[in-house]
Amino acid sequence: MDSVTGLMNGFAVALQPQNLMWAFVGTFLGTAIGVLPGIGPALTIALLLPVTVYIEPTAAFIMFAGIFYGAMYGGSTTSILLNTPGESGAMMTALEGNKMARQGRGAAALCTAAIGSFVAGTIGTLGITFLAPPIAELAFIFKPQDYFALMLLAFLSVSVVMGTSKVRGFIALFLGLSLGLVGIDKQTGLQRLTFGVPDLMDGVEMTVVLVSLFAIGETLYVASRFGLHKPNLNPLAGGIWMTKEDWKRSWKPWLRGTAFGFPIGALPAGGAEIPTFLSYTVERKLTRHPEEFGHGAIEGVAGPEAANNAAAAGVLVPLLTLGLPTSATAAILLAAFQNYGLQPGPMLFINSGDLVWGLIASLYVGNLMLLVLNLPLAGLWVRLLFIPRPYLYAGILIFSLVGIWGVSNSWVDLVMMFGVGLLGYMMRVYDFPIAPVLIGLILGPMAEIQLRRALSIGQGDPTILVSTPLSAVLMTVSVLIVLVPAALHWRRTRKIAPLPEDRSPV
Amino acid sequence: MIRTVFAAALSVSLAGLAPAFADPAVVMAPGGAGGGYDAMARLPFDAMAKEGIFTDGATFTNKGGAGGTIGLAEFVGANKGNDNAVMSMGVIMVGGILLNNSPVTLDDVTPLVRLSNDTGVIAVATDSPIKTVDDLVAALKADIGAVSISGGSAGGVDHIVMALIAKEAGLDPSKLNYIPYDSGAESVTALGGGAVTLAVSGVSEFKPMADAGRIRIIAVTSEGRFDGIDAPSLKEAGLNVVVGNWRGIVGAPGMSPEGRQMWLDRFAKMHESAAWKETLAKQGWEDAYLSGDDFVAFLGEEKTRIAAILKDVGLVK
Amino acid sequence: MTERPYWIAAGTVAWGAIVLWKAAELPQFDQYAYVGPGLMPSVVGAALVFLGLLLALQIRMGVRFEEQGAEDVNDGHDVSYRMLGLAALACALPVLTMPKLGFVITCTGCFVLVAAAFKSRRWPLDILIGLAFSLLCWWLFRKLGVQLGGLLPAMGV
Repeated sequence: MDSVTGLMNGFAVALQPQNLMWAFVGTFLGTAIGVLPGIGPALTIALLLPVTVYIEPTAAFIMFAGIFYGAMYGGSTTSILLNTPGESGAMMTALEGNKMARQGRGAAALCTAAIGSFVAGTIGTLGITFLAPPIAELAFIFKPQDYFALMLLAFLSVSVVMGTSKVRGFIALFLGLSLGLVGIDKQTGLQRLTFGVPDLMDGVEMTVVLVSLFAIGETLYVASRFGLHKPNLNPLAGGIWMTKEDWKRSWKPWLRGTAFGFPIGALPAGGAEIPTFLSYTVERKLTRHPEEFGHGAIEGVAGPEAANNAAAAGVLVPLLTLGLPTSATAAILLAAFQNYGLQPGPMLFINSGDLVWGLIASLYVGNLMLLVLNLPLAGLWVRLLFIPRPYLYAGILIFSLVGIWGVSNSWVDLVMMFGVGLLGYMMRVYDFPIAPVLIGLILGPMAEIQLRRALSIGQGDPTILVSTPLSAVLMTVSVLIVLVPAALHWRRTRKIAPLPEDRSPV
Repeated sequence: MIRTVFAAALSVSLAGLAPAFADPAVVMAPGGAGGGYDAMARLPFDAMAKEGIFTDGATFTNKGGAGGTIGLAEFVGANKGNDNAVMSMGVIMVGGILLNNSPVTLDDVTPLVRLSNDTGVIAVATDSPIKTVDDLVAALKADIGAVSISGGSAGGVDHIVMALIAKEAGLDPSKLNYIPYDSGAESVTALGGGAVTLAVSGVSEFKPMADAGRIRIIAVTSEGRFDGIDAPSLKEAGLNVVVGNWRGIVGAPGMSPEGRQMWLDRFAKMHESAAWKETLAKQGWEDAYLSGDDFVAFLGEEKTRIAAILKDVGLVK
Repeated sequence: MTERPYWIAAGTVAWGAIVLWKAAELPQFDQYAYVGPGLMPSVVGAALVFLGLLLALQIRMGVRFEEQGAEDVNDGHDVSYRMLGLAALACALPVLTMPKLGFVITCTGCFVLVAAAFKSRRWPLDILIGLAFSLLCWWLFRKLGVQLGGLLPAMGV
């Protein structure tokens, strides 16, 4: 069965009225749970897995597709409106998105996120339909040194989110790195910085730090400086729809974000974070409005949000073609397949073609459903900001607690929520950027493990780090990223600085 | 009483178990949702409910971390003498307790049954010059560091397999170039792409890739050959190494003899049931049913063996 | 006004020192990778110490710390430590009460405290809304399978 007929049959199934209803239910539930801070797509699907046991496989998978994309999207709503990203992939969206919301452009930010998600999801699903086998091969091509070079590149390029003071940016970054070190060292089984606390053996929970730094820190900060006067800002001042200018500035970031997200998402150690970091950096470098970055640039929402969703679609590639779950979300989807006695992998398309094409078709349907559901709702979501502040912030704290306490039941995590929340407050008062903490926390352990893997395989030979074409290219780009701006800066200062003194051009 | 009603409402709404009247079981899964311990906690109760063996429902708690020892500590702390509390566990926990110096051990709980097993496989890339176990031993003897090995966590069951092989071959297990990977997916792609020389994992994770011609399995870690895999067991190949990634259920600390017998009877009935056979087939688990005192004896042997090998590897002092 | 928050620099140096001290207990080298489990912590700890000192130097030279903007913040950035204390208490409350008193009571307390920190004076109404909202969250998310615990764990409920 070739792709096109397969897909057509799939649509015939997915478009039946009752299946459309399941898609709607899935999208709705996925979005509703996905908005909770700390509860990302993996947990959402795990939570809703039992619900699907009682419906037939096709309907269940259609519902999954809705939950899958819905949960990915749900996180962006709270990131934009409340500056409380619920999972790491949505963090970059919060940086610019929340600034937009503060200017009354929340609806436009939500729209560009929704349409960007739709575009990325659709292109990603097209990729699954037609390009899955070659994309899946990437998994075999990437060696530890390639991963390391990719992560190094992500590291060096995020210096742009470090704000005005480099020293404070680096302190934030290294603070994140130090938090990332906590836990059992995977290579040797030794404990690092755990101080004998069993709950820290598996490391600092990323979502706890994320939620505490953003949501708790923000609550403390705003409470201490809250003016009794009514906020003079109308959340809807910027209209409820994107302007022509917004469209013009959004479509390229959508496509570029997708180009980062889909292939990296398909890698076993790729994930959704690296493409969102890279997308944000690239948009910031390419934009015609550099002055707006840090103050609500729409490109900074459109790009990372598309990258995030494209990465989610990318995860399905190795799952469906090779039977390899490369993320927590995929592992839970695999469990769902197994519940129905299906083994994803090379034989899946042959053995259960109808079901797989049904799933792929329902990804298109779920994605469209998400757009239909969320575009009209964008204006409604924004009205959340009309909730009186005492109740809004109290609600944020309770949702954060659902995410933190409900996931781990760990008292240590509650202590950490308080401690990191205070840190978030302090960082706001003394103008330390927050994103680098999380970038260090996420990328640090990943980069370290790939470095040590590569060196282990090479038995300590450092040249192995540039031994493949890909790693050599990525390393070169990384070095250039550091050197070129430094060289340009040096040339500029050399040209300008001597002028007033000896009055002769150099 | 309110607790019962709420818990019952929860289990009915969630898992659709039969209407609950009595106390539901308190079940700990010392791993995250969707993982092996989670499945070992929930699926037996699904099967028992389906077959009408135990229909009072169950409240599940997931508490992952540090090889399951965090869940173990919480289970032991919260359920002393509770005849209604059980926990899933497995060989990884036996090692995890030693590796993490856990203050709470399996001596603190009441072993009930072993239910499943996942045989290990040793695989190479399809174009690897290593084709047999003898080739592997020769390669290890020639230059042990040059054989990079991917597998699960340091000190986990995959590492133990390699350590036992090294020991049988007369080599120092602490010299192995063992590289832990977070997931079977990462490990198998590293092997298939040629990044590492050798990989160790469970049958269920590697068989599909081997069937697709991506990797070649050169040995299995079971006693004899494994159905559907064209490779000898390590024992057949002349190395006395038999290791399985088994999982089972233990009861609360200080469980009464009656309580223990009640659970043993339930699991015995469940083990015979069609629903459980279906579950085993779906999950790709091997039936490794071992009950009561036999399981206690087996657990004792495993503890001694694993403690010795982890010492040889240098992970436990 | 130039504030000189040397304590931040001191804190950074101190944390870096702790990381370095803990790193020193670990092997720095590995037989094959050379990069051992202690090497990264050593590097990170050293970097934090260095950055802390650099920050101290900047502070000495009178670097400015401009507060980040946020919505709803009064124009003068006047700080009310009483309100900060109330909000901080709300965030610390779960540490004290969550394991014993359970999700619903804890969250009701948090709700009332945060509302008070945002200058809401309608205590009875706040308690009522907080309780209703907490109960709703607890019931709904527990039904969906989030482990939120019992209604009142101390009483075994």
